Amino acid sequence: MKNRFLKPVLPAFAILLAMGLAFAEASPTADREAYYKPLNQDWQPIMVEEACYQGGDNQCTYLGHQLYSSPSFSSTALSKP
Amino acid sequence: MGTKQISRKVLLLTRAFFIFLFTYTAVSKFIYLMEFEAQLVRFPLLAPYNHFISITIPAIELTIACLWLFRATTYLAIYSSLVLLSLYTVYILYVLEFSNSIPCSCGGIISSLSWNGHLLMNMGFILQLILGLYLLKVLNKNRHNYRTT
Repeated sequence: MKNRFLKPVLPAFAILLAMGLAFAEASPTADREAYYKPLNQDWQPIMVEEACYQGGDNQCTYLGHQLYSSPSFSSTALSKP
Repeated sequence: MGTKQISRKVLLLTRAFFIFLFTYTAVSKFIYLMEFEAQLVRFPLLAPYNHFISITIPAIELTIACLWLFRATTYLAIYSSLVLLSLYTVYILYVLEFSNSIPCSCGGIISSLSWNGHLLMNMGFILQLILGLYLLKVLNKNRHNYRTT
């Protein structure tokens, strides 16, 4: 009896909960742009997570290259906690 | 409570959970479609197909959520969920080879997880699907045996 009631109700509840949560959620945080310089190439932009702009012990890298806040070696080398 | 009843309840919960998961991630992506598409531009491999992928992935997720709704399509739902989650897992491993700083373009609160967190979560989901598949096969086998004897 209980199972017969739950079978249609539980999936319907799951759909409603999923849609409600998806709409209630705040807008996603904007990712930041960072730059790296491959050998013999121009600076390349890439999206990085916000944490890379917080600084910390872990270097933010892409393909082994250090990421910078702007296309210059004198700009901030990005790292995260 | 017998083993059969427990199996049925686990399957019911698994079904509800994956309906929730795929509906939630698909709807989140559709709501923020522009942001999702913009994020994909900077992803290794995916950039040239960002427009196509931004529509296709949530559409596939919604289709799988629908497959979970019906008993007749449960096997298809499990197998397609396994394929999709395995593809995500392979892609995460690929991304981790490149960088530890690429943001996730996944939907909803899941996007706040780290890549390693994602990897663990995906593996948990895959294990849950394998358990669901096993239970479904056992239940169907029992039902078949009952009918033939």
